Amino acid sequence: MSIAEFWDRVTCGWRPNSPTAPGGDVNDELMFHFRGLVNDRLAEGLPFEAAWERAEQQFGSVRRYDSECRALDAAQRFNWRPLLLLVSLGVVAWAWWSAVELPGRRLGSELRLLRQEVQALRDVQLARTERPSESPVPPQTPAPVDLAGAVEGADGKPLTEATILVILKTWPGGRYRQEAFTATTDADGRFQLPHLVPMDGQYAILVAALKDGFAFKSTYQLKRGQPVAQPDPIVLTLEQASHVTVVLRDADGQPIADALVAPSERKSRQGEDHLIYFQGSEPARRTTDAQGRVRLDCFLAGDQAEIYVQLPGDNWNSRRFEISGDDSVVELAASDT
Amino acid sequence: MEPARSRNPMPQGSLDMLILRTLVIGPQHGYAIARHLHAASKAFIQVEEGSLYPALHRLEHRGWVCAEWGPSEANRRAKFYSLTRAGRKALAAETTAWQEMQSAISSVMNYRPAETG
Repeated sequence: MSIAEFWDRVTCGWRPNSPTAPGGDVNDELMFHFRGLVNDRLAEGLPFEAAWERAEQQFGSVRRYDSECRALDAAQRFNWRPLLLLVSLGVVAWAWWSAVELPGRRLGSELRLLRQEVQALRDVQLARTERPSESPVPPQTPAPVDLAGAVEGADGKPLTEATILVILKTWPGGRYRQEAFTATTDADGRFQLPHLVPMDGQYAILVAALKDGFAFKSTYQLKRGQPVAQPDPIVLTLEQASHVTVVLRDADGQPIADALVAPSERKSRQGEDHLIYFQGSEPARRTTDAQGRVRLDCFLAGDQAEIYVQLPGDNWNSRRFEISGDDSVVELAASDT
Repeated sequence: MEPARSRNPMPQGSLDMLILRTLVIGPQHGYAIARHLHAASKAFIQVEEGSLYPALHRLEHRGWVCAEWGPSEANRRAKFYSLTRAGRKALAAETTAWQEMQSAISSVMNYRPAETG
């Protein structure tokens, strides 16, 4: 290795924000790219599912590339640490020769940490490589599950024409898959989504119920095992929402019309978390009017709210704020989105 | 939905060279590198874009590129790669080797027996 190469390695590899440092995150890096591809396809006018599928075709398996990058990073960490150890030993030897107090105890603890880290890395790699064969679930034919439930008001009366957003998560062949479904409640406040097909024994569903004037709620279930377990019956009780108006303004304070806004999350005062995934959130999207305003009557006073925002010609972003009262106006600047 | 386009295979090892060449322009994140490869090759190069990342991490571990997190054009957190001095030297060597190979292949392809006699 030349001096220039050595210097490059020292200055790059030991930077605090370097990806080889513990703060780097492979997943963040890959998802930045994948999100960009999805946004490109959305900008072309594709619906979300098609945009997602095209991005998957263009990018390949995020999971596989994530594993490859982590394995490379882990191997690299494993390789340069012995060099560090040698340098440490050299420093200790120099200190000993110079009759300076030996930092032996510190070196001992460094060695212990190093061993622990190497062992942890091995465990992680072993777990990754063994995971597919660890599964006690034998290959099987797909078995459908039937999702059913009801939505009611706080007074116990059924809520008709509430929008039901369902996210089905499955792991066919060890690869994560996420699908979105939509339903509407009938005159009795009931909904049904029969024949959802998890391709193996494990699946998860997130069911969110939305109705104008009511605070949205969601519930999450994870099922695994054979035979494929049916989802638990779902009853979501929605409370009357606060009136919330979101106003979007550009850097000059001018209202932004035709921006898309959708609820994403509400964390209640009681600490309950309710989610609407971006995928499948189309029915929940609203557009700002000429004054940059949009009504979002789906939160409660005191909620920590998060919304998705897409300014015209821009990517989707998210914003968080608190619902201060029963009739709130939330002003958001474009520079904040 | 438009079907996925078939991908044109690239000669082995050429992805590293193309990434290094792209980074001569300046520090870029993986997404921008992919867009550049697509545009500069007039959409001929159709690699799985995820395959850039193991290559980038490998180049980083060789000391040929160096990476830092920073804000993207849309103010998102992105990882920017830039060429190191060692990377520039490697690119020069790879470029020379590639030009020699290209010249050799061209000679073989254009070979005519009459010209040798």
